[in-house]
Amino acid sequence: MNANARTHRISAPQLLMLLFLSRMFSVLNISPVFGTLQSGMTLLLGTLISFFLQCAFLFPLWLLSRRYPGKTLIGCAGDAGGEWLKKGAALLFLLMFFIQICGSLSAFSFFMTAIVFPKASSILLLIPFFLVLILCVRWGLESFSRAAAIFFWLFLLSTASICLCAIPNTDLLNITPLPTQGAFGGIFSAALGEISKNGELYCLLLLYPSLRTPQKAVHSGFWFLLLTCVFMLVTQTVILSVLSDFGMEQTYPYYALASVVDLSVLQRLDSFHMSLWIVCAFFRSLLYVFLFKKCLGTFVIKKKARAVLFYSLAVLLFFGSVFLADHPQVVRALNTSTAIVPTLLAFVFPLVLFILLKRKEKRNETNSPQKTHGALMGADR
Amino acid sequence: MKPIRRKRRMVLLWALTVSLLFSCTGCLSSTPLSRQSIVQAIGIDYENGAYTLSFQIFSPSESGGSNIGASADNAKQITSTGKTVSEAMANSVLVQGKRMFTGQNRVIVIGKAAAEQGLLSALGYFGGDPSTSRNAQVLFSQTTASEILGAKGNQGILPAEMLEQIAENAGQHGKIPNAKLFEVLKAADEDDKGILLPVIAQIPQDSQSESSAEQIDPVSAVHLTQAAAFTKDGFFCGIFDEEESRGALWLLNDMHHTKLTISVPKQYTAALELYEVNTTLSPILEEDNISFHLTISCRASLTETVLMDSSAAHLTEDIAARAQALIADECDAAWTRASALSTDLFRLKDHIMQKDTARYEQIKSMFDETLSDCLLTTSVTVTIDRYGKEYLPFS
Repeated sequence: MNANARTHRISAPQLLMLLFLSRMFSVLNISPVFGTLQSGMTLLLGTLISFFLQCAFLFPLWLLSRRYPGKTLIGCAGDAGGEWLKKGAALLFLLMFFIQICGSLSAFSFFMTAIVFPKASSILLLIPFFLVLILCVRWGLESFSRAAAIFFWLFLLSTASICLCAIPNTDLLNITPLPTQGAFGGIFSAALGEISKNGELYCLLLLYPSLRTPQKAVHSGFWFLLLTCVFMLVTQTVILSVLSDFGMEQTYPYYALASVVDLSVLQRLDSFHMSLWIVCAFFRSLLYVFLFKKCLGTFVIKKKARAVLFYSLAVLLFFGSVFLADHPQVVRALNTSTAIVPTLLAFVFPLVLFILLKRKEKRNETNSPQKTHGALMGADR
Repeated sequence: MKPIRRKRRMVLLWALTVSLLFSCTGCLSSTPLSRQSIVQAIGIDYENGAYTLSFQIFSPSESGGSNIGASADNAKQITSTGKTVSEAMANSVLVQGKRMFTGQNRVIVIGKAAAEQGLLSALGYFGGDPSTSRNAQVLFSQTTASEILGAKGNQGILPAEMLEQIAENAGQHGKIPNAKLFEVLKAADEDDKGILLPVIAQIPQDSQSESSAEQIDPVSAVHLTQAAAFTKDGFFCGIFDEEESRGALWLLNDMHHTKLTISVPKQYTAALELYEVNTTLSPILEEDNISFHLTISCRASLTETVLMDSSAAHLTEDIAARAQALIADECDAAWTRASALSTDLFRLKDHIMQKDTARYEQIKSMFDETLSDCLLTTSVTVTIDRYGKEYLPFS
């Protein structure tokens, strides 16, 4: 691997921190406005179980990253099923990322207009955010991964300070126990809800060739899931023990917690924490826009044509975000807790591709013993 | 990186930075500080079918100088009226032309008439407003809130700050339970338990002083001596006196440090400072009835002992025994009062739910009415293991 290739790759810890910050936005942004939230022990157990379920999603990643470290999921689709499967997969991911980006930007706008600038127009909030987003995407994965590594520690520090300051107000009596009926259904529903919000699982499948050591993608994935689980368990326990079920009924439960904790003369720390949450929103949107652009490269090879297509679609993205920002009922309708999409994209589809690729290799070995599976390897970034 | 490409990126970066300066996000709806009134305390009253809000706002111009002096009167009071609290808040701009900034609000005082309309009707607006501080202390006035906010201290600090500190100190020193706004909203939202709010009242002024030269201005014109009980629906239902208020603190596990005075006529008077308190309230769920057991263990420092006509022998044990009895009496007084009001003020349902959720589901709708049938047993342990600066040779 030459020096130039290395400079466009990121390390496993950088990937972990980037995915974590991206995931954090959907965690911090949970709101009863967009879907029913569980509470009490149901929520905590659901979070724990979702961690174990999501670990299973790493299996296809482990298979692909070990065997085909140089190819993304879309590249593997091309090798397995030809051009039509490659473009079909790219189109599917494009559509997913389009919806995710619009959803993330509208969620950001909704948060800002609910808490920070109640009278501001959502367009005026989204314009500067979007412009910076487009600019930063041009600078590439390595640039914003490095930035994520800095904000990751600031974010952890901020969260730790909230939790520590909240300790005097905690009372375990506030955590409601499991209900006598329907407990398992509630826990499973909470677990599926967590999985449905974890789009980073299939982002991992598109990003692992960008690692300096792609075989470490599973390590990054596992630590990402573990860190997210621990973060959620700790913060949810604090929220529930301070605010009880009342906290989960607030428009933004995490914000509600930050608004009631103070440390001596340091009050209204929520304004400081909000700035870091905006950074999380930025990294999430940035990651998705970057991958959106990558998927476009499947259809248009020429750089200038790809740029034109990307900027044209970016305008659509912007207006889609503005529309959703002003119609929260549509967001609620699109918001699903069934986990079908992550299961298909992050587990079923990659597993099927791996099986197809293995069968193709065997066929090739049978027909031509000199060809090895290495013929299917190749850089695809 | 090629110089042309680097130059293009720098131009883009500068263009973006400059364009961000023109972002209208903050400018369109911004209000300069000079057009805002910094609200320190809010009083909520209800009369003639409308809510009257009294705002105590920080007004440094009242000092008459450019500096805020220690003895300056830095606050002024403004009132506005509306059919709801939201309307009264909106109408406050019409009264004095400045937008009310409630982000620094320290205290909310609810008058009796407003409390009788329900806590949520009075406080719901402040729970939903993102700029209002949810850590404001909530107090109850048996008369009107406006007269409490109009009371002045002579120490130069803002009355709102004084009210806040009085309420906090009363809770921290084990006198009267206190409640912050988010705790009141949480209790009102949960809909199955009541809440206690500290009662603030004006200290009766002594009108017997002979000359103004002898008159010393009081530090504070208000005090807390009681707690007001509110039902699970948020309606005022009764008053807890000082003994009952302390008992409520024990039962709520909100007693952390406090002082006890043990006075035996003609024998001794002793003061204990309880510096470590552990309280556990456990439900005992039998088939036919529910009772509760309160376990209190304290460590105390004997800070003062005045012997009259008594021997020092075995005094420590006697003081500890009397302290234990005193604490048990306070708890019983609070329990009896809550039973008489038929209101779960001590989160008893939460204790039952933690222990046996199925039993909780059975009893939750009728529990308040059957509260008087629930018994409370207490076991109190007070261990005196510190003696302050002066140690008498107790044996």
